[in-house]
Amino acid sequence: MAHKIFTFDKLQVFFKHTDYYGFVHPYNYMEWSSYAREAFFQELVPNFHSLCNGAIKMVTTAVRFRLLHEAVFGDRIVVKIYSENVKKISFDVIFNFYNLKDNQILGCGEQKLTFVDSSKFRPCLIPVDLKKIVLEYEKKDGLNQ
Amino acid sequence: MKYFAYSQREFIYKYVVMFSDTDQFQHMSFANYLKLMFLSTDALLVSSCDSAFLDKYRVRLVDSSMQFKHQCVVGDNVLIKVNSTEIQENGFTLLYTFIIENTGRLVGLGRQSYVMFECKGMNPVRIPDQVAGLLDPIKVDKDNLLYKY
Repeated sequence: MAHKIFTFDKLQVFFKHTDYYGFVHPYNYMEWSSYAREAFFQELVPNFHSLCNGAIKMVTTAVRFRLLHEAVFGDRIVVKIYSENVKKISFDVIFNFYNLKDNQILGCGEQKLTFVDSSKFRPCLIPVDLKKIVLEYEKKDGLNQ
Repeated sequence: MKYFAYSQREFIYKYVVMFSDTDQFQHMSFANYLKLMFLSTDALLVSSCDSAFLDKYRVRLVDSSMQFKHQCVVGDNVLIKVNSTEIQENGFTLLYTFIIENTGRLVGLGRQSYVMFECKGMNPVRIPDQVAGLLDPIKVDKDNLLYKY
């Protein structure tokens, strides 16, 4: 069975996002990836707010981004998200950024999220409710959309 | 047995973590560390980037990655040490070592690859001498470093 993909389509390029040459500065994709993943969890994990206020913290331990094409002022950006490598205490979130006007891929990125019990300062299991959702969106080897 | 030593030079950018950098969990959000990579790159290159340079060339990011080792809080003095590696005809890689100044604690390890483009035609060009002059003094062999970036 193919994995699900979450779509976040509330991004638009304003002047503040552009660089000297009129292209979107790559930093913005890093920031937008944090918006997209938080929207993903907020929309799909029923108790995400209470999870955030508990002792178990979600920590970003590694990120990567590859810029493929340029976007400019006024473009609308769509982020598509799925997960990979879901383990006991961590998983990867994969991001693909597209330009809505022509569906061209703009960049791709990934983040490794690790869970830590802040009361013990030790890694801990991914909370059950969150893991259930993440598994639905997990891409296994050889299962492309 | 042979002993050897060499001095490693680096470009250093210093940043003090402010309240506006932190979120409700009292830590600096991950995107801000990446912003600091871009800021320190700008600080390294800015001396050669006058308007004539900027109208002719563009330093374009290809790939960016970072590993996080420790979280920063308000007031931390973060040193970002920048080294160059894999310098090729029209591209180069920068390595970033984030350290808390007063404790020496490792905060994160970053890496960014760049390509030089001509501004108008969008074709890769040879790294201009003024940029090469900034990269060469801080060049390292990535295989001979303490950390894997």
